[in-house]
Amino acid sequence: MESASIAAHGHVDDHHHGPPEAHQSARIDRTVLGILLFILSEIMLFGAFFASYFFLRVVADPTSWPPEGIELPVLIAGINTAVLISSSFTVHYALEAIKHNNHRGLKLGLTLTWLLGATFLFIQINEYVHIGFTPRDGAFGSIFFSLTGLHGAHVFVGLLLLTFANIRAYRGHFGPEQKDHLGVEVPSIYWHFVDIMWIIVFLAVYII
Amino acid sequence: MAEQQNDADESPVPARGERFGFDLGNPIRRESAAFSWLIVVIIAAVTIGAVGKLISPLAAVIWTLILLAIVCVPVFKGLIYELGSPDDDEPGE
Repeated sequence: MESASIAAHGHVDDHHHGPPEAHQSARIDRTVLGILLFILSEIMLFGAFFASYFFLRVVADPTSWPPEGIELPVLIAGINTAVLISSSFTVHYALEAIKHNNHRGLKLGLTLTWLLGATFLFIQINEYVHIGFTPRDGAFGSIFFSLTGLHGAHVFVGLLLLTFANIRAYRGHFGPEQKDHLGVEVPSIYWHFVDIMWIIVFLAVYII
Repeated sequence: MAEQQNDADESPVPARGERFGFDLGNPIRRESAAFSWLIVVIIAAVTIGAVGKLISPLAAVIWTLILLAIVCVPVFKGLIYELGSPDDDEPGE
């Protein structure tokens, strides 16, 4: 029985109880693999929406996209893009600050990031209210609100993560060692991902 | 969690930049690498927007696909290398 256990696990584990350990690659950490699968699933989700957007755009009359009567607020969306990109710089600043044991910089960076993210959402909701068309107004309205709304939902989730990071920062939970500021680093990576996705959405919907 | 993160940092796998000629690193392991990727995307987006405005939306889409092809090949190779194969696993790990 013991030899069978050795054959199965490759070593004798006298202290192990319960089900056997799941097989794990020696090359990639379980946590990293989990984040990788999450990011890949997110990319596929956004990819499905982008595929829908470009499909609708191709099958529609290319000379009238967006349809006549619909004017997208490119300037406001551009300002909103600048706001969101700025928030990536502030969250990066926050993380660099805590790496140098600068707690004041961490709190300043995280607070600014949260405010910029909230500003982005506020402007986007304001844009929805005043844009002049609804998701019911044809394929363009439907895909516009779906794509930007999907991204807005991700910003909202990012804001929730940043809220927890802010609370913990003000309580002094973070430190310069990497293991002591994972609670800032992981939301930061997610925030950069959300930022990258917005740049692609902005390019596809508002610019080209 | 912290031990796992440290293990990840001390991985024998060389950074992607060391193997494939550009030093962007793994964006899911380090925030600084994710930030570098963001900068690259901003620069790419500016060029795509310029092509879209100056030439045509179709040209912008083609330029996007070219950029994606340039980036995706080394990223895919890096991903496959990092994930490894079951043969790479040492018994007991």
